[in-house]
Amino acid sequence: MSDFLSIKRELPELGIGLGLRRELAEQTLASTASIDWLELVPENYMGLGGRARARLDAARQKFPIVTHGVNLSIGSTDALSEDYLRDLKELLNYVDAPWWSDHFCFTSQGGAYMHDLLPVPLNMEGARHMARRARQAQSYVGRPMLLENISYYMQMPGSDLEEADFLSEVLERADIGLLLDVNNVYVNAINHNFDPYRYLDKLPLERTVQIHIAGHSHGPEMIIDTHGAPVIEPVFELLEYVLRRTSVKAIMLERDQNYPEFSEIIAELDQIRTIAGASNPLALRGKSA
Amino acid sequence: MPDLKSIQDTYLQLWTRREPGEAVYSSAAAAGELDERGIRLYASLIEIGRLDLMRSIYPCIEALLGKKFKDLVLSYYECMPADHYNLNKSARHFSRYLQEHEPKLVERHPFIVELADFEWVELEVMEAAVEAKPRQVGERDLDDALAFASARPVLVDVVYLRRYKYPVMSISKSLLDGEKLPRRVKKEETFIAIYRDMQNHECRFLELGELSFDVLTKLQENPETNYGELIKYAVNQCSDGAEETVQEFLNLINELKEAELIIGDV
Repeated sequence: MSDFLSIKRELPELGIGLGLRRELAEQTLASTASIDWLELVPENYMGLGGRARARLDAARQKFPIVTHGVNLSIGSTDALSEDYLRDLKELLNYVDAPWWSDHFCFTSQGGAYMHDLLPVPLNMEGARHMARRARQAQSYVGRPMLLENISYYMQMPGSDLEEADFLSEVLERADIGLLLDVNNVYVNAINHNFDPYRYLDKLPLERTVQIHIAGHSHGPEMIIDTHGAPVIEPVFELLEYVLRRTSVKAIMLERDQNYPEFSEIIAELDQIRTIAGASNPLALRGKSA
Repeated sequence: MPDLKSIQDTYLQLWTRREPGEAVYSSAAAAGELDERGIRLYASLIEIGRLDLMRSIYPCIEALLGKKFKDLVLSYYECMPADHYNLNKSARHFSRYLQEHEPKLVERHPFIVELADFEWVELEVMEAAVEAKPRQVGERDLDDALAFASARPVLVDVVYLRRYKYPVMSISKSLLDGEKLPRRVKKEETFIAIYRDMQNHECRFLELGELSFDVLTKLQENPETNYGELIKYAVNQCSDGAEETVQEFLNLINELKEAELIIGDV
């Protein structure tokens, strides 16, 4: 068994969580009965004080916290940013996060940050490159690392691997965990016309520690992973499919814009909890399970 | 096939430059067929993210420029790409960009550089990481002259003092209220303290007189300065009589305490 799978067994079962967003912070922090844990974007807290730190402190008093970063830029050919890793490590220590995550993508190049999740060429060169950097990052931070499959809207030149094969290469070579975003699987399957279930079957699902689920929006040419709409049934079905095949430690609902009444978010969390309980009761037990 | 770095360099140009140039297109073509729809979509996602951010931080500049704001933002990012992992911080050089690269705009709106600084500082105040000041501060008996003179005021944790050539605070208010500015905004030196509300971490603004500004600047530069030294400084700065200046100083200290800009004495 890989080191990571042994580590996964020891990770806490967090349950059903929500992203900590400034716009929803007050209601989120008041909903300890419905939310088991919180995920936050570390870049919004690293090296900051004032209102950001106050929100962080309020959250960590009430919930377990993990981070989900956007600017590790693991796929970039720039050197890993020492400043970034240092600030991230400090934050992770502060909230005592059981794990941390980022994305299979690049977000910066030549020292310039794009603040968007950009696709990399899906080939062995890219996979080896990403795996090497993931090992470095995990080793520096000293806590289990997960990478998440992104939504991508174009195939980068030089790609000769299927996405699932590329992800598997990186995960196995780096010996890290998977944060599986089932909405991204759906969005990519529609935009790039592949079978999402076949895709899931090709992934090393046993490495999945955390799942993201979200809604998306329809653009003129493609569907876009906006996190700005309710989760649709086919995405719930993908969640169920994964949970019947592996145990995970946490599921998190992403809602980042076009906010509905908070009660609707809670209702979605309840629905996720019901699916998790029915699919594999032993797979994930939050505080309310 | 080009290597990973050259593919990433090329596509960043395609996604973020309004006119990437022939060389970039040639380099992209050498890597494979151009997916124009995908390139357009990523360009649009990056652009929307940048515009949303800049609108949220610089609403007054947007109100001032209207539709021209978008082009200005895109030029800014082309000239000064984001150099920090924190999204908000990608907006931090906007004021400098205006000063250094937009002479025509500055000529037309000579207050725009100061206005951008004023809008940026608000975010800085709310989020800056600072070491909290010692909280063992209390009120001294202002009637005990000796004790008062040897005590020193403690400023709030985060305060930025700004001396502007234009009435930036009133310009900002007018723009946010949807009012039209006069064709030529007259110069008028203004002094502003922009500081953190210690209860809710929001930003507070206080317009100051010149003497108040000078006293606060001295205190900020040397936090060990006591009331006695500050009074001496104020009397030297002011052409009014000493007695009048001392009274004015004492009133000022009370006002700054009421405004929670001075949080106590030690």
